[in-house]
Amino acid sequence: MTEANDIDKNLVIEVAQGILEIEDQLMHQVNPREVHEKILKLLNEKIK
Amino acid sequence: MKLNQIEFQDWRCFTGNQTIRFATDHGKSVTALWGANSSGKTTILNGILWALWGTLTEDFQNPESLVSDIAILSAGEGETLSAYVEVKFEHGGKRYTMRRSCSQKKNNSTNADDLETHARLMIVDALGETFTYLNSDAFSVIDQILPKILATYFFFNGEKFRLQVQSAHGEKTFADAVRQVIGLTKYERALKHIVKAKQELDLTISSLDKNEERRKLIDLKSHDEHLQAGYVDRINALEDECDILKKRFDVIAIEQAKFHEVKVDILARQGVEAEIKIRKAILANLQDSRTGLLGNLFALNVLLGNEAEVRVLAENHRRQKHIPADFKKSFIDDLLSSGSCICGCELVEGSEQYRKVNSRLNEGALGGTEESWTKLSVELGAVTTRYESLRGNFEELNAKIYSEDKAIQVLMEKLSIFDENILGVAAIDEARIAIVDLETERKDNVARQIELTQQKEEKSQELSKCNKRIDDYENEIKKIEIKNKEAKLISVRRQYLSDALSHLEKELAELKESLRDELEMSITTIFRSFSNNSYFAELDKDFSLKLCSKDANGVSREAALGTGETQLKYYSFIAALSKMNYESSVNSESIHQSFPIMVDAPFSYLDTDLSRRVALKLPEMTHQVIFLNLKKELDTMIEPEVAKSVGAVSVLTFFVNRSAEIKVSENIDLPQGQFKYVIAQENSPRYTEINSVKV
Repeated sequence: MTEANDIDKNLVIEVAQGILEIEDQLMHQVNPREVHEKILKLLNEKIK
Repeated sequence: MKLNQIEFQDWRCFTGNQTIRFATDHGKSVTALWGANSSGKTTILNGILWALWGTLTEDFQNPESLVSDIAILSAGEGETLSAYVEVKFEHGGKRYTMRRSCSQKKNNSTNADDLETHARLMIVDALGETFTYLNSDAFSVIDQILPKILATYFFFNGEKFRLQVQSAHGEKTFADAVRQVIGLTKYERALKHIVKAKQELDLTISSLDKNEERRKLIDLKSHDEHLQAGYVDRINALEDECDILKKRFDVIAIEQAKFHEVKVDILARQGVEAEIKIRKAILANLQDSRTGLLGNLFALNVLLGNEAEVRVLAENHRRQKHIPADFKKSFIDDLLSSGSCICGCELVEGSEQYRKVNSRLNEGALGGTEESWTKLSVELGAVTTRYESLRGNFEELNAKIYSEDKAIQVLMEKLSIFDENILGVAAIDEARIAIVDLETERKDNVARQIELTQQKEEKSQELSKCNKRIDDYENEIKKIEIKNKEAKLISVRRQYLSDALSHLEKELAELKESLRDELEMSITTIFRSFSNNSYFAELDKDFSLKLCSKDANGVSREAALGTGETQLKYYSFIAALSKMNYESSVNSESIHQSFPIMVDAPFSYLDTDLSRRVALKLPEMTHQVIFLNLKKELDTMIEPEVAKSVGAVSVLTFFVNRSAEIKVSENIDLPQGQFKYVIAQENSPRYTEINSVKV
């Protein structure tokens, strides 16, 4: 498991890009809950 | 997004089926639609907005009456009427056909019930595959191409646009739209959502993080482990003490057994002692008897004159081996003078024994006459018998004495054996005390063992409870540790989210800065290409636009704009946005997308010169422009420079009731020829025909 003090900067950028893609997909989603869930899912997939 | 055509079927003033094709060629991307007031130019704009985004402009009259009046009039009562607008466009290599239809039931001669609408979007991709979406799904797809909030800034009424922007929240809405079209809103939304997601993670972490509880449990466990060790030590100590007591108990048992033997010996010795005492008494009696008998024997022996016997006796008692006959007298004299008889008794003058011995002497037995010797002989005969008898008794007595003596000797030996066993009288007493002490100790030992067993039992129970508690704590700690591990992983995710937030904040700040500079420059350039005033654009942090000029001191101040300049300001802004999107979509598959600009009454507040400039410059800034013009704007549009970018022209021929305000029919003279513009006719409802002009 990745330690909190061992952050991979490339992965940070991947996460940031992933979040922007989610925002693209859910641009008109009124309920932010769905966006949050997608962001958390992205994190779960990227950081194990 | 590139519009190909719009088709109306009995929709508002467009009775029957009518189509407008838009110019799409590069360099010939302007579509000019000419129409009189009320001829349906705004209806075309609203047809686009209604079909693609389900919305209408605020000033659109009778929005509930979408079906053509003529269609309603010609229908029978109760008949259901339908109308539609179909828009075809291309975007991202796909062809889209969106048809939105409505139906109304005619309830009397002129009115119809409420509308029912239906939307269907068909998409054909580059490979020819078809996808169909209905109603809200269809709008959702369109919204992903160009959000509704932005659509009203690309498809707008030039006369009303300023009012739209300046209405309540208009400026803010416009700025929001700007940020969205240049891709900033996405970042802003992302930042907002990341903050919320972080908060959610924080909540999850705090719900999972039970470190405090874990610490408490560990303290409790440690406390119980300390107790546990204490219990174990105590139990071990109790067991050790029990073992010692048991060993001592065994020793006591052995000691007690040993002292029991001693006790038996003591009792036996007491019996032997008693027997010895009895036997000694018997022996004393026997010795007394023998002494008496010996006296008698001696006397008899004397009487018998048995000198030998006398001598023997004398030898026995006086240790003299021989008493000669002539010595008898002297012997008796000696006895008398010595004061001691051969039997050992004292011959005290005047005593009975002395008298007897003396009488014997006086009687002359030892030196008397024959007669007396005869007499003596007779007497001796009796005495001999008596003597023999006594001698037998004497022998028997001696044997008894010997026997008793021997028995006593045996008993004394026994006593000495006992004494050896019981170590004498002192040891006997000690043994007695020891026996009592040992018994007391044994009883104490038993009591203590019971007490210890109870204590051990109690401590074991406490230990068992303590062990169970420790197990419970351990299980609980394990559960918490699993959750803590999960919390740790989520903390790592949160850290990534936090870093992604920082990354996006930085990226957004950089993007904002560069886009602001780019837009400001672009707006300034475009505005100056429209207007003779050399104002420059300033965008604030939210991208609200100000046109500014510098005073004599070089200080920047917001310019006071006239109506026409205000319109130019927003044209410049829209044009700059379009240009930015157009260039970026041409250069790459950027996040920005290019959209057509459709303007109804584009030159309302602009003089001819400005109108011409707008008409000339706007097509340079996007891939498709649609102008919905009045006849009076003809001068602007026929400028050769403008006309060369026009790729499609349509004239809206407006049929109007002659009894209404328009009584005279009009034509419009276009470079392509003369076309019917307004046709006034008797008692006819208003409607419009779209006439495509060959360019």
